[in-house]
Amino acid sequence: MVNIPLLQVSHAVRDYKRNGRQVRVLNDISLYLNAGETLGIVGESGSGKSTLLRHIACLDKLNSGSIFLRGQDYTGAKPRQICRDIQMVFQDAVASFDPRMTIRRSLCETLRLRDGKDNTDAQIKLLMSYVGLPEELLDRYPHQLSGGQCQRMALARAISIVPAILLCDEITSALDVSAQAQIVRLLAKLRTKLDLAIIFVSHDLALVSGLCDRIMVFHEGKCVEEGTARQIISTPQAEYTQRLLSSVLTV
Amino acid sequence: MKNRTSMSPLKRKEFLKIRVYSFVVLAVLLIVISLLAPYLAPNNPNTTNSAIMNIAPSAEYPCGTDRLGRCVCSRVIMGAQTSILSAIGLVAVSFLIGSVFGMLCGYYGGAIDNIIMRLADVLLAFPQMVLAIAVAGILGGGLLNALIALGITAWTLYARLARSHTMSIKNEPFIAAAKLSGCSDFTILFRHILPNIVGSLLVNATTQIGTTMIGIAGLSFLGLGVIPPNAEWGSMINEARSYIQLAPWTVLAPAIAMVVTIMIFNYLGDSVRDLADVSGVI
Amino acid sequence: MMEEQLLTVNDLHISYGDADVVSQVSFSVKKGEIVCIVGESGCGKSSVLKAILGLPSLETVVTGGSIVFEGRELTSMNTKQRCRLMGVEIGFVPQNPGSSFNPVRSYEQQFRETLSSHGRRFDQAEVLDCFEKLHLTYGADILKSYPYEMSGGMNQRIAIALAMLLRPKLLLCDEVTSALDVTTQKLVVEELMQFRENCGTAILFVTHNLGVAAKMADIIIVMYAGHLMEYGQSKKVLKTPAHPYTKCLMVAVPDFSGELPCGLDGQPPLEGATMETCAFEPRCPYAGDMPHKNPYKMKQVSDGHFSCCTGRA
Repeated sequence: MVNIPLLQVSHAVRDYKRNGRQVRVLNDISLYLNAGETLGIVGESGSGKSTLLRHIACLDKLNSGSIFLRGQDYTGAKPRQICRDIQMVFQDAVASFDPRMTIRRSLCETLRLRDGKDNTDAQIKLLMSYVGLPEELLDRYPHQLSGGQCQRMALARAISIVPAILLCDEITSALDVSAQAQIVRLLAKLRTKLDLAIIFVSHDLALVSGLCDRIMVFHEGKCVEEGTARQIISTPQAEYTQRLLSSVLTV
Repeated sequence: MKNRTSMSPLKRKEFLKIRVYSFVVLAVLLIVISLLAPYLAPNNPNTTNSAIMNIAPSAEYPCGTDRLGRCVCSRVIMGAQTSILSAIGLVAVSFLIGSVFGMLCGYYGGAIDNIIMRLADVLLAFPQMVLAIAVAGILGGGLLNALIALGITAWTLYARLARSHTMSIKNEPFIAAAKLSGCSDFTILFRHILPNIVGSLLVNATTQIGTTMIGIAGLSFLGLGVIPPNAEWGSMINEARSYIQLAPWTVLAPAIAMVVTIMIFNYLGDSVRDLADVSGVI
Repeated sequence: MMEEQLLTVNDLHISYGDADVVSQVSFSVKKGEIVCIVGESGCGKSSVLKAILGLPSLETVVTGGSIVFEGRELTSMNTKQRCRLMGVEIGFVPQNPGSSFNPVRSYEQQFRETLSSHGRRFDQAEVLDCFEKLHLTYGADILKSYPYEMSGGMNQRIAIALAMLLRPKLLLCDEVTSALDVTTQKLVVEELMQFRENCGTAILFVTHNLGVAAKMADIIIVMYAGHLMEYGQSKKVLKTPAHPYTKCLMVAVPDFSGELPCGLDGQPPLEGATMETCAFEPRCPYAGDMPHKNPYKMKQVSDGHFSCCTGRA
């Protein structure tokens, strides 16, 4: 039996109008993701990586190309139809919560999706223990939490329905180096516990190399290189990949 | 060794808060007066008495009487009920209708946006009062028709505001997160978008109360609004115009009442907006 | 040598309402030196910059200590005197470049206005040359564009160009690389170092990324919860970090080992939480049973390297 990848993107193309000109943000992108695998996508801003995630989450429509979940074409579906399988965590954690609602209310909203009613307290207690945050923080508003704390709450929200795929859109880019390390370790822990498949988008190749099984390098809407993390780091083929590697400032 | 400007930012915030509370209290006081008007009026506002026409303010008639011998003070107080409550009512209704239309336009875009916004553009192509006069004239006089006439253009302000706020909010990550939580469009619009934009819309609504009162008074002044003998500040000024030299209190009393009321509501709107700017909330 | 000291901060205290955001911070910047202040979000490093600038902030106020720039005491200056210093003597590049430019005026207009308000002429050739140095191509087009048309990275480099044009003696940079891609980060860091080479400008650079500090700093200052933890020559601090917190920060920087970076558990204390004992103790891997006495007293670790703790009781 052929093993169908959990997620497959086939020849995705997306054009946007920017400053009066048509810009091809996604230029014939194809990728696959197997269950339990972590795929890293690296590239600079504007390379199309975040746009790709938005399309996988059905938050936007492709101009052409298809997206398959477990072999079924769901191109053009609404987020509501795929939200049990695909969840997303955003770069700006504080802005990813409704500023007028406490964190608890926001979490309950997503939990209701799984259970259909507020089966809150026990579930939420469990989630907080998974992400390592005290329960008092739940009754605060997003702007009252630090960026790192909010991002962990966002992870809690995303995993609360135990999706098959977790999309991470530059989730550490807005955090300081210490909070960044915490989030990445938490993500690794959750992925083992819940057998998540993850697509991790970042501009930091060093960070991605530690977390991901495979890496794709994006540049101006195209994938310029693809391979295992080891391959990309030790023997980068594309000139752009080499430039990215040499740009990372380590201690 | 303190770094200080003329008023420390914390103090300024406190001052603005106190300002808001003061004007809220005054506005509430006005609304209470208008609700309790029948009980507060010293005399019957509609009783005419040819023996005491145009007499100066006295103990029995605190603002004097008008050309038909009616107590001006009582008419001003009853007029408050008409002016304030109908202005607030009209603002409330046009705010609701306008905001809903605006949110739908901003969220969905496309055909809905085009149709509603072009309709708003057409209505706003006419000067508001001119259009109101025309519509009131066609519908005939009366308070309700005057309110409809003003309401035809009033909703457009809120629609445009709600639309632009919705357009800027709908791309925020928390809306995307709500979509991925399985929320329907209706839930997103009314549970996530509306609470986040209503603050700034309300600030504008408060400032519009004054404008609406002037509109109603203006139409009544022209005879297209409230029908005498019902008390309303605009029509009172109209009726007393010719007697301004003989009995100035008949014009001054309703005019001052109107100016003070409009100022209070305008300052309320301004101070709420100032506080919102400083504290970054709303 | 006292004449070489460009900026001396002595025992600085900054308060937010009732609580202390920055306590007992002392350091100095010599002419042509690059000093990096490193620490997590909320450690008070940006507040130190803002105190030097004298930016009126909503609630933070300098409550003690002194800031001396070229022999002049900054905290006792009024707004007018400070304004004369800003730009030409002390330059500033803020964290969020997009909001420091007026979005509806072209760059050229804003450059002209800034240069003329400091008595300098707008010389197109000089501006374009500055853009070239920062790898900003099509400089003439950039001048005609508007800030809202540019990405964050571009805006940041343009903001640095503007600061450089004024040739300040001291340049303050508030997390200028934090919002940038790795490639742009490297460019900006290299350009700032080049700027120091060419013009002898001293740079006080605030960042949370030790990797950036490792590349560009002569002196590294580590702050935590408003206090100085470690201070010294960059090579010494990085090769032989003394303070437990510095050691934890070092392992949190991702590298290519294929391993995940090590995170510190917990959170820094809330901004303004005052502590009698060492603020880092709850998270310190070396914390023993005895509370750390005199936790913030700086001790010499080696020549030019100071720390208030070496991880042993």
